[in-house]
Amino acid sequence: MRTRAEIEEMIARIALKDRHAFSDLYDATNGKLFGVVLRVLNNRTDAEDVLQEVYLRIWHKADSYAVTGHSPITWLVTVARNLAIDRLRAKQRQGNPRDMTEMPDLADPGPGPEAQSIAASENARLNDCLDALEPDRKDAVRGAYLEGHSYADLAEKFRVPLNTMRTWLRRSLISLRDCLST
Amino acid sequence: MTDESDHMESNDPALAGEYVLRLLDEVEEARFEARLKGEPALRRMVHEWERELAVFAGDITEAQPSKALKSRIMSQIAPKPSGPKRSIFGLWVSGAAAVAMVGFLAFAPVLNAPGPKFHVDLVSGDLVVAAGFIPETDVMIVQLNQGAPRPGRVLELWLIADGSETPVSLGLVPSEIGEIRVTIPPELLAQVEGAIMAVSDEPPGGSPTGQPTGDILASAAVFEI
Repeated sequence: MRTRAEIEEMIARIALKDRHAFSDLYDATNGKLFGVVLRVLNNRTDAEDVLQEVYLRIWHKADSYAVTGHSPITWLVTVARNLAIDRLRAKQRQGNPRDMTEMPDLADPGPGPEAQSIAASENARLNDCLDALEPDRKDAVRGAYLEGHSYADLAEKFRVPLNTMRTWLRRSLISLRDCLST
Repeated sequence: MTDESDHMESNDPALAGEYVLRLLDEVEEARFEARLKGEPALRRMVHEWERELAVFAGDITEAQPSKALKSRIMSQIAPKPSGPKRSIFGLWVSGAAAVAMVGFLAFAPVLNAPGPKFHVDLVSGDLVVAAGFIPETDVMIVQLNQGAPRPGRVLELWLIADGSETPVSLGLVPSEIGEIRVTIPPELLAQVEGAIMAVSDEPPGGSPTGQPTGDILASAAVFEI
């Protein structure tokens, strides 16, 4: 992975329709973004289709990057994750409910070296706040983020009624927000 | 008003978190997105959650897509050999906005005929659909200004009235660039003000169930002209 400044420079040039910069950005980030998309979709063919959409979106929308105030990798991951979840929800609507028995375990493997590099200092606080949640509530938030679980998926996974899951998750988000703003 | 702001203060941070996690259903999501356009504070909450929750992405293992994918993508952004020349400033967003504006102008009253009172632009990717409503004559105008249905599919237009959770079909969008004018029941027209409209991908003939069955391709709030 290149440095943040290098990736920011690439995105700025892509906004001016520089195809060389786009090619460089693809080389620097496709492994990470494919990992994000594959984690949600769990199917390489679908994930490659979506990855193509992701890069075309980046090509067309690079000029909207600055508006978010995100670090470049946060912006790229957010675009990739959202398009992957769009595809997942479309498949679910077409009657391919996800089989929760095949889903990877949600248990937290702990932050790897990469997590530390992304997280750096700005997110150290979030990790502390997440650790303050009960473990299964933290896993539910993780599952929604990483696997794109819906409330129905999470209710099934944690064997609680859907409304209970919704209440849990909203409370977890409020606790996180309170913790982060203190 | 006080009640409303209390309500907003207590619920919006969690709601923005649910939006970012993609836990809202389609109707809730469309309502939230309609609010986002006019509420910078809400957009900031969304950006905060996006930034904070991205910490989870650090756990993701990289994976390699097939080598052919890169050339497939690069060929899609190659300059079109015979296309009209475009200025470097002709970015996608301004292109779509220009098309939407053309759609808007096309609704301008012809002579003394009443013009549309309500309008919606449904834009996503290269799809641009516009709809206008003329209450005096119960007429709805639907335009496909850019893009096309997916192969073998159609585009269907939906109305989600203010305070309702259930989309009501307003029929199909033209399959080719152009517009149609249809008369709709006055009781449906009465629900347009403050509504959200959406366009979905459906099988030929439209949704067989009376509710959207395919992807929601775009949604937006109706505005008064």
